[in-house]
Amino acid sequence: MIYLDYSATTPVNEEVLETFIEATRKYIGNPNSLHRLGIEANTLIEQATEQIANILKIKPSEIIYTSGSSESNNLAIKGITLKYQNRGKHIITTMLEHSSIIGPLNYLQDNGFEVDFVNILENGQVDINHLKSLLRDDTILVSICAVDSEIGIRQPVEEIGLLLKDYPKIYFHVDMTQCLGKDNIDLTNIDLASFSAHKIYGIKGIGGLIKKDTIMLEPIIHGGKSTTVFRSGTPTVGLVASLSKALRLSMIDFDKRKDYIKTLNTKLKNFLLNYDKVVINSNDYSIPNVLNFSVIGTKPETFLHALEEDEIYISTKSACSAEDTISKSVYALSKREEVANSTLRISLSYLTSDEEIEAFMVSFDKNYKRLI
Amino acid sequence: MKVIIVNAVWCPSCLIMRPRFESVKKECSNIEFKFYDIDLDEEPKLYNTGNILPVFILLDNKNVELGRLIGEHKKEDLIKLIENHS
Repeated sequence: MIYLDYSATTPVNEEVLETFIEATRKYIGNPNSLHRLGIEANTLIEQATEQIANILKIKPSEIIYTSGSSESNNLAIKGITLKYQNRGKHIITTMLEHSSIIGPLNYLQDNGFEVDFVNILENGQVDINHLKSLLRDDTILVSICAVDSEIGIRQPVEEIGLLLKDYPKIYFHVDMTQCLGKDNIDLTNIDLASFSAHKIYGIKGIGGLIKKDTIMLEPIIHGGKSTTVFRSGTPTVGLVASLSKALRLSMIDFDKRKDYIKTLNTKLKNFLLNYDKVVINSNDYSIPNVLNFSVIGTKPETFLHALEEDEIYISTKSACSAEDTISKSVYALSKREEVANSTLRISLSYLTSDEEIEAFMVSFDKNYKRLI
Repeated sequence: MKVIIVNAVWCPSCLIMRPRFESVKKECSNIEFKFYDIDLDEEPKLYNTGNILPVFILLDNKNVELGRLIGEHKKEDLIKLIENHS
């Protein structure tokens, strides 16, 4: 089995799984209980939270645990806009966002909010001058992903954060789900940031929203204090401990792993460029983990399943997009329907071996000749 | 005449087009507008909507299609399509 779909999700690291099992088995108390078992469970959560905060260079009080990035994105967008709607109802975002950003924005638009999309430059990055021109007195939120899930473009969110520092009434949310553990990110001027454990070899079902202490949010899940008042529910000791472990492990040999993935990406890209019908959609601004390309004239699903017959697993586009629709991210960049209609995404990991890439090449060549 | 609009909650172009659709709806108060979600409603299957959203379909009183616009368009384009068949 050759897994090349690490942007969709990652296999859980054995040590992370062990941490989850051990913590879940050992710490049976509710962290909110006042007795010894509760205090022990709460202490473990506090220790894990402190470790996460140290890695991300934030305060422990700035972490809100959620079920994952979709919930974090919903909490950030609905939480800010509902809390601060008396200041204005204007939101700015991009065409490259995940459906868990666009979905809540659609909901808010139906409820009287106005949404503007900032232009994307030819290189796939946000047009900062256009962003400046969109800022208004009633703008309350700007939401831009650090790395999009389809093409993998790294956005200049640090630069945007610096720009928005001059607008204290505007909150800046960054979906860093596809960035965390793959590229460094400086959260200094970012008000809110979403992430998920399962993209960094953690367990599905936990993620977080980082929120500056000075900012308030309207909770989505009401019910009283958990680890924070912004998201109710019994704190999941095992999941929090496993998240901390996954994050710590993701920082090991960070640069070395990044360089290694880059060599795999370059090898793949050079290989694919030999084929007339292939268009590479990822570019120099994409993180090396993602290689998005189109095979013009084929149905991407057909190609995907052909590779699957050789037990090679890639993706047609973001796993959270609907079937039978074009890649909205690739279309936003290329404006070419035939390109956006036929996208395939390979996503790599430090776990990917050179032998796996070689095997992919053999299978791709065979299926290209058969299907084109 | 009747207008069928097919959207999706995850679709950024639908977000962009929604205010324009609403504005056209306000201007063309004699035309019935129906909004459908491609994932939640059955009706979009009747209209062969393809894979680019949103889809704006103009029908006559016998539900015969007069024209359609797919993806992002200016409000004027939507009005023009309706006027061409009025």
